[in-house]
Amino acid sequence: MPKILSAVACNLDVDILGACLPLMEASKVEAIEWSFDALFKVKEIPSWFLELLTAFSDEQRLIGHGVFFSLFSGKWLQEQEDWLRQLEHTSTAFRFDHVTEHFGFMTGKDFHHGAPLNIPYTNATLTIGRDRLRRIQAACQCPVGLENLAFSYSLEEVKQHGAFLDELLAPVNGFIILDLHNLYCQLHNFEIPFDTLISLYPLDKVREIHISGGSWEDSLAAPPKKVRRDTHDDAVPDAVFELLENTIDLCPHLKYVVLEQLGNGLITAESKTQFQQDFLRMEAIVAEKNATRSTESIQSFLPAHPTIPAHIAEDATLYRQQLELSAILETAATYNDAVHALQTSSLAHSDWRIETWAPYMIETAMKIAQKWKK
Amino acid sequence: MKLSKSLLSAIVLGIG
Repeated sequence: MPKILSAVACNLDVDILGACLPLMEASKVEAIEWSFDALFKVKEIPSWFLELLTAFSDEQRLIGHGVFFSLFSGKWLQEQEDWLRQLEHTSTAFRFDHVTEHFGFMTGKDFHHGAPLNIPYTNATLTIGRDRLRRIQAACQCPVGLENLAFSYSLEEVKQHGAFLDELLAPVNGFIILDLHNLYCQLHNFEIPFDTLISLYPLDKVREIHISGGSWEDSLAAPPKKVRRDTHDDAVPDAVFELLENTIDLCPHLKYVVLEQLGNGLITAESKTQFQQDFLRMEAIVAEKNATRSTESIQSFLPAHPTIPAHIAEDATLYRQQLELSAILETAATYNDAVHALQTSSLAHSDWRIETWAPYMIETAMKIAQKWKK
Repeated sequence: MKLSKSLLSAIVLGIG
């Protein structure tokens, strides 16, 4: 088992950096996770931020976390081509110990906007996902992983997610970021026990764990249901720290535990102090676990025979359905409007299985899509 | 991980 490193999600944001700085001054931060594609269009990155990235890169303690690739878009997009080219360029400037992306497809026609939502688990989506992961791995030339999604439409999807991730990652020998707050959302939203859900994930594929905070939202579609959302704008709940303590020992190849929080949740001095306390609590848990772990791991998470498919996998029907779903979620004025539009759409009685979607999660999907619509 | 004092100072300056 490798030594586990305590890390922060650290990006070019005044409030995030302000919260991280005392931890860095105390030499507490052992690695940083950088959302590299958030800066793809920034013409001039400050030299001090590049120096910070280089310092961690030189020690093989820099990990990349992409946001905008839209892994399961049914159509291959020019923006994805550009994204890969920029990743290749960034990977020559910095040495990533690994690179990760999010599961799902981005809502909205404009590639760089929207939020990732789930897709049907079919042979078509499996083929597309595997194709994209091979291209990402070829661009960055390091281990590649995916993060489990917080959002699911149904309990059925929740139960299938781990196995689908496993199948998806196999050709690139990839790994999973197990986001424990995402898991916490599903434990609550679908009332499934932790032991049941965690047993459905291939935990020998977990190389990184995320912890973060979120928020509660009342459901109008299914009162008095409260939906847990992964908004990254609050402190880490005690329950997520408990999940961390219970999960680490189950993951033999875990290397990074990362604390994430959005800059908009770190504006006040109190929130910065809370972030630092959360980090120290996380670090203490990691240190305790490290004390009883051996230091050897033979899992490289690199593909034995890396290949790029000659033809780009696409699915025109899937792409049309993704656009249709995005439009419904982004424009429906009410939950009832959304349900009616879904029932009369091409998604009805299809692999999307909209008939099984939980009402309060359709409502949540609308809120997410409309929040991030541009 | 230990960062150099000059880098930490540059970050402090950089984030105002």
